[in-house]
Amino acid sequence: MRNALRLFRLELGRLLRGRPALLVMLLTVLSPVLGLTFYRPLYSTSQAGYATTTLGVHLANPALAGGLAGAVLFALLTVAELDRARRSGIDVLTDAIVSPLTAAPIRLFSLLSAAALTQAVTMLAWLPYTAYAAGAVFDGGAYVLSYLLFMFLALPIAILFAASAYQFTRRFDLSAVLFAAFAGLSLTVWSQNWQLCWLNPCVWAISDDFSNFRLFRSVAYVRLTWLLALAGLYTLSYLCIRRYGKGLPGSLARSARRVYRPALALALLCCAAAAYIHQPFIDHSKELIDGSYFDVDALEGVTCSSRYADVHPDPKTGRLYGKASYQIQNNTGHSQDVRFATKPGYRITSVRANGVDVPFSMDTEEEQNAVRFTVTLPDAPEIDLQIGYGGFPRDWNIVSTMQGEPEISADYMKLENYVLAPAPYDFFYRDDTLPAVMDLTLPGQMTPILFGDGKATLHRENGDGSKTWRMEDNGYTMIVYAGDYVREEIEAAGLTVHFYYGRKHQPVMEAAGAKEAVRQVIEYCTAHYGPLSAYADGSFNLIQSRVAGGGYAGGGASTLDEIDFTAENLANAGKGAAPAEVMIHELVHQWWGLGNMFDSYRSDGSTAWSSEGLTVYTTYRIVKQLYGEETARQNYVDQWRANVDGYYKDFYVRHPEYLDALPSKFQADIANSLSGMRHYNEMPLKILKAEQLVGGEAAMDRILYGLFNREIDSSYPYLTYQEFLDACGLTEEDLRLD
Amino acid sequence: MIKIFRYEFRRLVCNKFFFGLLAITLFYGWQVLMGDVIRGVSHTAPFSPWGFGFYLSQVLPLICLGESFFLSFFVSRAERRVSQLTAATPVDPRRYQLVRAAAVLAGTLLLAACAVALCLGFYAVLFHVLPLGTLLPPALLLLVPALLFCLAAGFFASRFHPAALFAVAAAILLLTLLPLPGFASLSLSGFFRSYPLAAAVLDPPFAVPAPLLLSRGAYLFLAFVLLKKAGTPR
Repeated sequence: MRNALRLFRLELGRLLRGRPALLVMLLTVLSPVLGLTFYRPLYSTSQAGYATTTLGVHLANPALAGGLAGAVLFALLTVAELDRARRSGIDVLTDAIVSPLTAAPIRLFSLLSAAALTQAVTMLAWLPYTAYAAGAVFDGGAYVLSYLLFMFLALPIAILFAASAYQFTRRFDLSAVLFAAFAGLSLTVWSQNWQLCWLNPCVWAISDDFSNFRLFRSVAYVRLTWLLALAGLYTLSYLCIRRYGKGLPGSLARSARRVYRPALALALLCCAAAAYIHQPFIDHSKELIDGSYFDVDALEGVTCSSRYADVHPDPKTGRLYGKASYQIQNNTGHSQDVRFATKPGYRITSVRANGVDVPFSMDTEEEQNAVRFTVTLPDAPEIDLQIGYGGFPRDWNIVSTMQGEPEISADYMKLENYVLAPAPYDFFYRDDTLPAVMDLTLPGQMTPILFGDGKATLHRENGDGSKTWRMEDNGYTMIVYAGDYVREEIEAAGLTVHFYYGRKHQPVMEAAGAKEAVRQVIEYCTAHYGPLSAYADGSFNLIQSRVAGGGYAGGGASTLDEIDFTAENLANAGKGAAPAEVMIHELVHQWWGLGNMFDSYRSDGSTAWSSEGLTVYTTYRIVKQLYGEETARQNYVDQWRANVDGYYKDFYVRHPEYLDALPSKFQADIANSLSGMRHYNEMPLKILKAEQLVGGEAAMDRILYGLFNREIDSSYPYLTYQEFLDACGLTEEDLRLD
Repeated sequence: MIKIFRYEFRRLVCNKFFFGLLAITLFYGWQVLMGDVIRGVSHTAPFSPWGFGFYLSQVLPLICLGESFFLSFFVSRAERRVSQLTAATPVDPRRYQLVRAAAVLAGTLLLAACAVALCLGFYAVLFHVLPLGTLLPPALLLLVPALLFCLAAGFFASRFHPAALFAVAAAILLLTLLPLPGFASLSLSGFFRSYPLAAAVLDPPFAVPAPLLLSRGAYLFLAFVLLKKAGTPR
């Protein structure tokens, strides 16, 4: 061991004195600069110019670029160093002095140490720049984790692969080809597979205002899985190190005599395979998104009259544990199977009815980021059903390349629906509404914001510094945001908007005039479509979420994506992006979608009529008024046309007979993209065509005003496509797109 | 000479490195087929000349790397040691070089043929089509200039120093991977993607604009010049 350490010191010293190693280290230290210019893998919110969060521009992109360049450079250095003795013709001598089985790990650890040293220098060298450029949103923890996970871990993976390739082939050129193919796969065909893209991890955005631990965990998991796999591959290649003048098979046979060596390789490879298969981040929902999943026929004779949950998110591990109780009435006169839905990744630990354990079973299939479980209710008219649950909530597999939710950390939490507690799936409320109470225990510095029109009050302060908040609302589900938020009140058109945004974002929000933008949107919608009358107290919440690539609206609340207002957007407002697009869209949903409802699940699939069509159209009109006709045309109408054209030109749309030949995954992908395209692009384009046919914007505004304020049929309160067509005096044929 | 060609060809093909390269190329090709080609390139059928050309453009870098690797057989240290002996034989050195070049080209074509066969098999099994006639032009347009240029540049550079071969391989890799303008790109992946989108009709028949054809001609001309230079004793 002492001899090995001495050799390691010698080898590392030799490596660090060599010009190739110094050149590689220097280039690696400089390589993050590529992320500021040429290689910017993070998603851009703008069509015309590059725009993402401040930390995305100045931290994540440089770190990812550094990882890519550093990996390539260190792989070449590894192959060159391992080939050095052979290239110089002194391998026979060196092998006689030090066993090649001893020299190989020493060389490997020297290279890994050089990579670690390079990483340390890189982080020190780029710290002042990043701190200066990021300004108020700079975060030391995010800086260290970004560089370690996005950049550093790529280097040992590359070194291990290159060393393995060389030990198998003993050829510089072939090892280089193998590495090129390995890197090429990651950059091209594997780039949309979050577990396979070892070189360019699926990092699409990074938050300025809130934490990024979920994303960091995911990247770390992928990189550690690869490290395990390549450690196994390296151990396997270690057995192939040529000895005693033998070739590969002879050396392998010789080295494998010590059984622990191949056993170790096999164990590492098996661990990597297990880590790959049993990843905890993404669910296994069915590929095809079926709109009827939540359109269930309720059980006769089973109802629920109230629910309560005691919820404990663990910010250290990103997990959540809780106990939920439901007051259920079973009037069927016999025991009854009922179903609940929960979050994939959760485990149901216990189910007790009136204090007695009852049987339950989890479904094996997951769908739309939910998994159902069946509970057998006893034959009793009143049942107090208690369910213990918890675990690490998984993301929906359709967003596997856009991970980051649900974040559960000491800085930010977004706890949606099944993340908080299981919900009854196939039985309804006993009364018109369902009282729901939830006690949520959060770190002391966090304040929860209940999405919707319920209320959150401080229930108790706990001895460990945490606080328990009581949430009171109605229904089976709740959505809670928690973080370091600033709250402002905005008065507009008779409404009061409680505007919540991250404290770090305050300077940007003030500089961007976010309050004024919100006011303008509300006044526009009120003036054109009429006042919102849905909220008895005349107020609703507007909540800034962690960067999510979109948002949503619900009764009493809308979201605003962090990326809507960024310093980058402010610095270059004329580049063509429509600032605050998500905020506008989600505010408009208060009118189209909530103020007027659309039956999404029962809508006629042939028309793509849903709340999105009118919402996207209205968003376009607001952007046109606020930012000018050119911006609106480029970012909306032209995009709709391009997407609709692209869709109708798609080979499989024109030749559906070939679609059946495809594997089911591709069929589902195409069907899902078809649905989204039609709702968000085709229908707004049809409404725009209707606007032209009815005589222009003013005429369309009058029609929409009439529809919004129409007499609602309480038995079917939905706005239908036929009502829209009738109000316009048009037919489906009239709105057919050429 | 035919005997020498057969010998050199067997040397290149009947060894584990060829099979290793073949495995890498086929694996990569399969990933490209299942990742991009299956969805149809630029609204065209996966089995259109455009989809096929795009597939070849994606595997071309690996085929070119394979060609450089074959060339490295002839400039290795061991090879240079025996060059004194081969030079002493009554074989014309220029013809000997040409035979070796032909062997490298044949080995590379075999690699490319395997990649093509994989794609054809994919078409036949999944879509039950095998439009060989329409797939030939993009294959010729892409492979002939690229492989000849790669061969000639490698032969030429290796005259100066064996390591120069790797520099050439890196340069050719950049020529195939970088998003260069259509006429400069060796792999033409941009052309196969953009031409159908720019065409006035859907599923346009395979056509090559004159400037692109000229650029392929330029690559071929450069290849012949470099081959001629490579065959001239220094």
